[in-house]
Order: sequence, then C-alpha cells, then structure tokens
Amino acid sequence: MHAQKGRPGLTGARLDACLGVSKWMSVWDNLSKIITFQPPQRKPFELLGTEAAPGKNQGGSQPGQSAAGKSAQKQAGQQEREEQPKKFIKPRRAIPISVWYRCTQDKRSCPGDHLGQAGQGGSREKKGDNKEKPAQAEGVTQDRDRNKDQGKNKICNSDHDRAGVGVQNGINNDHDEGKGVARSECGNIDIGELGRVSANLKKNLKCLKKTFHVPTNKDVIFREFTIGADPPVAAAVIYIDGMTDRILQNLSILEPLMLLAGLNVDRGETLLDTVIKRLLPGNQVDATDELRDVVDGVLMGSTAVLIDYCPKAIIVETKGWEHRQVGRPTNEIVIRGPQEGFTETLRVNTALIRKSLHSPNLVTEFFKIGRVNRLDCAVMYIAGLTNPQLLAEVKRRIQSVTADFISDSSVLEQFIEDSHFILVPQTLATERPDRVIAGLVEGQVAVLVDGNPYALLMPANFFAVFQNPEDAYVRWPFGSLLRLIRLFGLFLATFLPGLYIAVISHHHEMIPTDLLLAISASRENVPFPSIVEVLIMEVSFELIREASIRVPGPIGPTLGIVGALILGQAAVAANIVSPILIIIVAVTAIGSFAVSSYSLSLTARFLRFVNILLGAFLGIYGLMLGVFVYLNILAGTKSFGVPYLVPIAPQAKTGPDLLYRGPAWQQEQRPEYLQPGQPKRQPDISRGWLKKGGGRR
Amino acid sequence: MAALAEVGQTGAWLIILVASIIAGLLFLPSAALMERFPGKSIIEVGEELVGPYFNGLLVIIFLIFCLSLPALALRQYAERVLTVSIPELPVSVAMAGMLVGSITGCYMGLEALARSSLFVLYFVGFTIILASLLTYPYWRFEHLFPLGGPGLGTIMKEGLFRSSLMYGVFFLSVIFPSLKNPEIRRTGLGAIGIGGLAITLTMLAMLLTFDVPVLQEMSLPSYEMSRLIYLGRFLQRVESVFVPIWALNGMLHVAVGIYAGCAIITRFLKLPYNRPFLLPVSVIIYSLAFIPTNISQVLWIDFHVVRYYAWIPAFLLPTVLYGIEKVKKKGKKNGGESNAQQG
Repeated sequence: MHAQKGRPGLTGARLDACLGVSKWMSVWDNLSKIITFQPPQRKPFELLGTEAAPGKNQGGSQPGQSAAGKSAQKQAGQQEREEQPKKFIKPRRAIPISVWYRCTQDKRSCPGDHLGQAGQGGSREKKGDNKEKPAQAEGVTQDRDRNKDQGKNKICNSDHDRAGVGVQNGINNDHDEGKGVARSECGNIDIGELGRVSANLKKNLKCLKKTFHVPTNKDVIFREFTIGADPPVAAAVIYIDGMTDRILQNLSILEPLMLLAGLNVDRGETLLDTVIKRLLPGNQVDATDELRDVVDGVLMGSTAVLIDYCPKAIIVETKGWEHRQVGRPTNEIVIRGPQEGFTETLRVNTALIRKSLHSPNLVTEFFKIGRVNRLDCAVMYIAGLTNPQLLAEVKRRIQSVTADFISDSSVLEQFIEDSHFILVPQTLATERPDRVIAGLVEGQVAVLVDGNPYALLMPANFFAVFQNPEDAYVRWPFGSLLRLIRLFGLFLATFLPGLYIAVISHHHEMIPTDLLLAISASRENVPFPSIVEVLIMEVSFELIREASIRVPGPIGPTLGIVGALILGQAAVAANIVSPILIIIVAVTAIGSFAVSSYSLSLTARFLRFVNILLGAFLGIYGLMLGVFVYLNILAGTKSFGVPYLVPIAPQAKTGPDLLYRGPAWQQEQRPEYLQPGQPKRQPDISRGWLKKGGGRR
Repeated sequence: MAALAEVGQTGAWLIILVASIIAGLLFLPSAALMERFPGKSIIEVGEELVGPYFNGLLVIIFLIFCLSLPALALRQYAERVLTVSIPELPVSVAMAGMLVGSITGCYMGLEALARSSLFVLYFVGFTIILASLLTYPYWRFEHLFPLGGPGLGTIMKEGLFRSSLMYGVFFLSVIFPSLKNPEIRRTGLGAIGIGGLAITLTMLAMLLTFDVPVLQEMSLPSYEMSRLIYLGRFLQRVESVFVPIWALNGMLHVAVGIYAGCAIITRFLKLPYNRPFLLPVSVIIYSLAFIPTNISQVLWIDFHVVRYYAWIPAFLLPTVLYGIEKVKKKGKKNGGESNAQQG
C-alpha cells in the first residue's frame, strides 16, 4: 500500500503504454502482489525494499545497518521479505517509473553504490582512503566513524525514521535515547543525528525546515521545483542565501534539472545516477543518505538537492561567500621569503600549503569541532614522516573536544594544550604557510581552523617558538646573529625593568660611580620610590600599546606618538619619572617587539611585572628565584609529550638549528625528539657538485 | 673550602682529588648492589636484605642524612646571599624564598629537576670558571708549595673522610627505579668525576689567589675571590651577580634533598605519590635550618660533622648491604649445593 502511496504516475494506462501487451499478465500479477502486500509488523514498504537486499548494501555507508546486534525483529522481517517478490516491475527498457521504484524500493542502496563505483561521474565515494575531501563530506564521515568506534551511538534511524516517519522527530529521538555521542547535553541547540533521508520529499523538507527554523529563519532558502523528466518529479534545493554562488547554482543545478532533464535514461540507471552523472556539472557532487550531512553541507555553503522518491540527497559544492584575498602576513613579516599569509578560508589555507609542498604524502584530514558552530578543522601531516603516535594524539585530542562553540584556532589551542597554567605557548601559531611547511617537513603536525588565519604547529618547544623564518632565508652568519639579537631582545623584555629596579634599590655598588651620580641626579626631583616610578611607566606603556591596537587604523600612530613622545616628555618635565627610566622602558619595549612570536611576547610582558616586584623586594636574589621557578616550570612542561626545553634539556640530536643557525646544507638531521619516520633530511654530502664527477642527479 | 685549607694547607686541592678517587671506589659496591636489584631503590633493597625492622633503622639514618644536608645548604646559601647581596633581608625570608623555588622544582617532578639541573650547570659552571679565571692577575704559583702540604698520610686520611663531599651520588640509589637508562655505575662515576674536578680546580684557583693563612681566615672564600674581579670602571663589584647565580645551585641542592626525603618516606611506606610529603618535608628542613645560631656555626657543623661523616650513610651502609647480599647469595648457593648433594 505504501508503494502506491504518493505515486501519481502509477496508473494502469501508463503501465500499458510502457510495458506492452505481452507482459500484461505478469504485470498484473506483480501489481496484485503489490496491492495486496502487507508489510510485516506495519513496517514501511520502502524500508523492506532496502532491507531485503542486505548483501547489496555492503558498499554503502549505513551505520545503522553495520551496527552490531541487529534485532530479532529485523531478522524476522527480513525472512518475510525474502518470501515476498523483489522484482516489482521488470522493465523492458529503462523508464523513469522503474527508476523510481528502484530508487525507493529494492535498489535503495544502489545509488550510493553506483556513486562509489562511478567516481568518474564526478561524484566521490565516502571511503576512508582519499583523505583530502571537502569538509562537508569527510569530516562528517569521520564523525560518524568516531561515533561507531565509541560503540555507544545509536543513530536515530530507527525503522520509523528510515521510513521517513520519524525523521521529523530525529532530534528528539536522539535526545531520548541518550546513548549517542552526539546527544545534546544542553538543549536542542545540538543538531546531533537527524536520521536518514526519506524517500518522501515532503517529509524531508518538513524535517529540514524544522531543523533550520524555517520560515522564521529567513536566510535558508528552500526552492521547490520539478525535474523535467518523464514523468516530472518533484525536487527541491536548499541553501543559505549569501553563502552560495548564485550563478553557479542557476547554471549548474537549477537550469539542467529544470530544462535539460528530458534525457533518455539508460537501462539499469536510476534517476539519481542520471541526475549526478548527466545533469549536475558541478565539480564536487556527493550523495548522502544522512540528513546531518545535508545540514552540514548547507551550512558550509553547498546546495542540497532533494528528489522525491529518492532516499538520498545530493550535495553540490557551491560555496560563494565573500572572503579576504590572500595577502601579506601582518604579524610575521620577513624581508626575504614568501610574502603570502593565511586567510580566513580553510580551503584557501590548505591550498596555500599544498601549493608549495608538492608531495602526494601530504595528507589533510578534516574534523568538525564545536557542537553548535560545527567548525571545520584540518589536520595536515606528511604520511610516512610524521610520527604516527604524535598524529594519533593530536587527532585524539581534537576529536575529544565536545565544546559548544570553538571560534578560533587560539580557542582550540586552549582545549588541546597540555598544561593550562603555563605562560609559554605550547603550540606554535603562525600565519605563514612557509613556516607550516617547514614544520611539516620536520615531522610536526599542522592544525588549521576555518575562519582563522593562524595555523597551529605541534608539538612546540621553546626554541621553535623563538625562531623566525627569516633566520633560514638569510645566509647562516646573519641568521645566527638575528637569533642572538632576538634572544637578547627577549631577555631585555623580560628582565630589564626588574634588573634596573633591583640595582637601583639594592645593589648601588654595581653601578659605576659616574653613572650612579647621573642616575641619582636625574631621580633627585622625582617624588616616588623607584618601584612606583617603574610601575607607572610600564603600566602607561602597556596602556598605550593596548589602546593603539584597538583604536581605528589612522588614529593608532597618532596615539603612539602622543603617548610615547608627548606623555613621556611631559612626565619627565613634571618630575614624575626620571629620564633614565624612559630609556629603560623604551629599550624594554623594543626588546619585546623583537620577539617574533606574539604569544611569547605576551609571556615576556607578563613576567616583566613579576620580575619588577621580585627585583624591588629581593634584588637580584629575587630575580634568581624567579629564574629558578620559571626554569623548573619550563623543564616540567611538555607539548604533546615532547619536553619544552628539548633539545638542550633533555638533550636530543638535531641539526645545527638552535641558537646557531647552520647553513642549509648542514641541516642533515631532523629533530630526534619528533621521532620522524625518516630521521635524515638529506645525505651527508648534499651538495652533489662537490663530489668528483658530481653535478648530475 | 677555608676549613679544608686549614687542614690540608697547600695540599688541600690534593685532598679533594684523593677524596674524589676514594668516593669513586666506595661507590662501586653501592652501584653493584643496585644493579642486582633492578627496579628497586635502596629502601626496598634494604628491606629485602635485612628485613623491615632493621631497614626502618636504615631509613631513619638515611632520612636524617637527607634532611640535614639540605637544611644546612639552605641556611648557608641564604646567609651568603644576605651577606653579599641584600643584607637588610631577614634570613627567614631568604630561606623561605629559596624553599619556594625548591618546592616548585620538586612539584614539577624528577624530570624537571634533572633538566633544570642541566641548565643550571651551564650557568653556574660558566660563572665559576669565569670567576676563577678572572682572578688570574692575582694568581701566585708559589702558594701551592710545598705541594705535599701536611704530608701523604694526612692527605689520605682526610681524603677518606672528605669523600663525604661526593655524598650526592647516594641520591642515585634512591631514584634508581626512576632512571630511564639504569646505568648507575657510569652515571655515578661520571658525576663524581665532574664534581671532583670542579671542586679541585676551584680549590686550586683559591689557593693560587690567596695564601693559605689568608684563605683559612675566610668564611666565604668564593665571595672574596669574586670581589677581586675588576673589569674596568664600568664593570666592577660583579660579586653581587655571581653570588645570587650560585644561589641557583643552592636551590637545586635543597630541591634534591626535599625530593630524596619524600622519596625515602614514600618508598618505605609503600605509598604511590611523593607530592603530599613535599610541604611537611620542606617545613622540617626549614626548621632544621634555623637550629644553628649563626653562619659560623653552620660552617662548623657542615665541615666538621656533615661533610666528615656523610660517607657513612652515603657509601658505608650501601657497602654493608652489598656485603650482606653477597653472604646471602653465597649461603643460598651453598644451601642449594648441599641440598643437591643430599638429593
């Protein structure tokens, strides 16, 4: 009865026309079987068609079916179905009506299978081998796999859901079961599992409208239309206005489906196959039977195509939102070397890396993070080079994050870092693709998050954070010199004010007499004790720095000039601070600007105030106490299992790339502490032309 | 150092050299003992060899040893800092500050302590070498003569007792199960070699710089030596920098002592974690450090008591345990043979 339901084209006259008189009797038999058929236990007809051929469904990705422990009821139902005829109408030639039957009944799983086999048709199979897949496909698949692995996910595609009955209640079912990983713990804001795509278009649309809060929500568009096949089929596209490319949608989805659909369908080909292979010229087309994939795809700017009687949805990649173009990195500027920086678009960022790292072993895996915002997160590594344990640990941490909202790579960093009370950065954040590539080639793992122009390299250690790409782009003596200068800058930024106040307050004897007299003379009219003086200036400077970042662009330099020059000059003239202190604060600021890592610079700024207090109360002894505490904390810190002070403490083999930056041809060894798959970067003699008769490859 | 110069006179550096060699020899039985019980510390080994009651006695001796040494080090370094760097600071505050640093190190764990020790070694080693070399203008080689000092007999006898200077290798027996690569023999001998060489060279530099009568009057000869450094008008009085840097060494010393105390207690009581004992052990060390009334008393106790008899718990008791183990093993072997003959 269900088979008859909702099929307006299934009439006796049409059947006569399609099948011919010679088959009239057999058709009548089949029809009578269909009409008189009673699904066991009131199961929907189309579900029986799917379950009747489990063997055919092996290639499909149906977690519900592959889940361990099918119920006895299902087995009983299956036996009954095996007794029922599987061939409803055996067409002499392929016609749309037979296509519908296949779509909806015994060939329910076929479209997916065909898709998998027919990757040449433009669609892509959702199997794990091809790692670099669009986020809306791969990431979701992996989410599902993860759920399956954890063994407690009962996806809400119960019999009713699969029939399209319970799809509308998918959210509630999911919550009620309370066993799924995706179960919402904070109300219905989590989309969780929505169940399967039904063969009933209206039910699919109803469910999706409910999910997207339509019609209240105005920017999700449900465009219903008719595919111009024979007979016409109802269909709908769903997309979010503003996130898609309208021209692409019109030309490659709506126009072919509405105007060019009157093509002959080959024998044995389903309507879904025809639509995917012949009618949708998009370069990325996926078919899915999960409503969650549909929702994810639509949220990512794709267009979902739903066709009546087809229990699968087609997701066409039509991203077209506005985004910033690739530009120069703003915070990690180098003189020589590439001048490209990451943008806020994940795929652009991964492409920037792949553009310069032409290796088939470069693998990009996608994950969804954040239960509400479901942000795409890419993990990149070089297969065969990166330590598998490190990679597994990175993925484990990312996948285990179950926060509602992760807006940024810096937020993700806080979720996956080892120690939360350590001031130093435990991952290396960079906006430079070349730096990410250098890390990947060393054996690090890169994590990129959609909407953020910073990649995270992990594990990180002090020396990696401290280094700058410029060191490698200039010749080695200058690279080493730059590092020493930066190290000195870091020392100044952290210790200079504390050292100044320690010497001024407790160790006058260290200062040469002439200098001591000069300092004393300059401080003679200052009414404050030296610690107050230092704190006034340091706090003022931090205020100026913070304000100049936050104010609108044109006013920033003005504020800097006003703050640094005029206020400083006025403060000295008013005898609030001494001139020597202005020099100390200025040199400290310059030192902190020399530190290339913003996170490390923040660490230095924070510790500076601690050191000022230690220096003021305990002199150099206090500073040494601070150094000892910092040292022990750093020595006990680990980043993804790698000690933070490696390769000095503990000692580990690495190339000449620590404080001293050796020539490129001396960089023969990859860092031992990363335990890369290939410990050597290059042979001992990498300059072949030095060998006798060398120079040829 | 000054007291050692009083005993050894011009041959004081030879005493340290001999003490290092004797310490190395005395350490060998201890290392052999630990190698026969992989995965066990000296506390568990003692329990296995002499039973829980006698082992309790041993543990008390080890604890006294491990708590009194850091207490004295704490007081000494705090007093030095006060004398040299910041005289107006109360000694209690100076000691509390050092203790905070040490507790942090212990809290971060053994790995953190070992790694920060490596870093501190660079700093302290560099400054000691610098301070020694920069006094070169004051060196007088005639200060070393007569080379034999008080004579070979005194040098050997003092060398045996001053092997206590190397008591730190005992710590290896306590943390033996935690060693990643349990080569206790190589590690211990290496530590004794490096430490002995460093102390010998420092003593040599002091003897070269100061005459023996002058040196034996000094309470802080390293400070006096650093005071002599003159690098021009703009770099003078660098002792204010050197001595606080050497305080890093003191903090490490105290941290190792606290960790050893905690480790001994937890291993004896078969408890899983060290950390709950950090604060109690630190308070005990802090309290012990207040017992001497002044720096002179501290130095006297350090030189005439601790660094004279520390070789007994550090080397002698492990050697006795080694002897017991040998006897037991021999007894078992003989028993096995006699049983076999009877059988």
